[in-house]
Amino acid sequence: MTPLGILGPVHLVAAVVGLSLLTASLIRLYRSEDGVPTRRLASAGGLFMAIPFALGWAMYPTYRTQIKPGLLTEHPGLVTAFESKEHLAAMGLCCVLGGVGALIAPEGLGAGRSLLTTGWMLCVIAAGIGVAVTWVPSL
Amino acid sequence: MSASDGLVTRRRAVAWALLGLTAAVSYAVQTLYAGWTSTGDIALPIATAHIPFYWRFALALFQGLLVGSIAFLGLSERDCQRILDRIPVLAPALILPLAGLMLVFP
Repeated sequence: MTPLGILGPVHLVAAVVGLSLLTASLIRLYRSEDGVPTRRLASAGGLFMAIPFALGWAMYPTYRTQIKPGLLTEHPGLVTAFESKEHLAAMGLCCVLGGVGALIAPEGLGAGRSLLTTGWMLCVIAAGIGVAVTWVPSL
Repeated sequence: MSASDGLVTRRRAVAWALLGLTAAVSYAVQTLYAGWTSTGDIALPIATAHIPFYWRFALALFQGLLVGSIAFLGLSERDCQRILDRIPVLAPALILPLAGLMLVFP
C-alpha cells in the first residue's frame, strides 16, 4: 500500500471528526453567553483539524510527484482547485487557532465566535473541494 | 481572580486572536502576491524543487506570533477591549474576501 493509500483515509476521518467537533462547538458558542466552557470542545475541534493538515503536509510531496502530473493532463481545473483547498485549509486553521485562543477570556467570546466561524467556513469549503478532487477523477 | 489576572487573561485572548488573524491574512497576501508575480503556468509547482506552501505557512505563523507577542506585552486594558470588540467584524471582513480571491486566482 502506498503512503497516500494509508494516510489518505486517516486524513479524511480526522477532517470529518474535526469539522464535526468545530460545528458542535460553534452551535454551543452561539447558544451560550460564556465561551470559556466551550473552549475545550473547540480546542478538540482545532486539534482534529490540525491532524489532517499535518497529514496533508506529509502527503503533499507524494501527491505532487505521483498524482499531480496525471491530474494536470486530464483535469487541469482540479489541480488549481486542489491548490485553493490547501490555501483555504491553511487560512482556516489559523482562524481556528486564533478563535480557540480568544475564548480564554470571557470578553473574547465575540472575537472567538467570529474567528471560529470564519475558520469553519474556510475548512468546510476546503473539505468540499477535497471531496470533489478525490471523487471527480474516479468517474 | 484579581484585576491584574483578568488583564493578563484578556491580553492572552487578544494575542491569540491577533495571532490567528495576522497569520491568515499574511498567508493569503503572500500567496496572492506569489500568484500575481508568477508566470501563470499551473504546471510550475511540479517543476519546482521546493514547496513554497510550507515556507509561506511558516512565515505567516511567525508573523502571527510576532504580532501576538507584541500585543500581549504592550497593550493596555482599554486597547485590549477595543481590539476584542472590533475583531468580530474585522476577521470576516478581511479574511473572506482574501479567501474568495484565492478561489478565483489560485
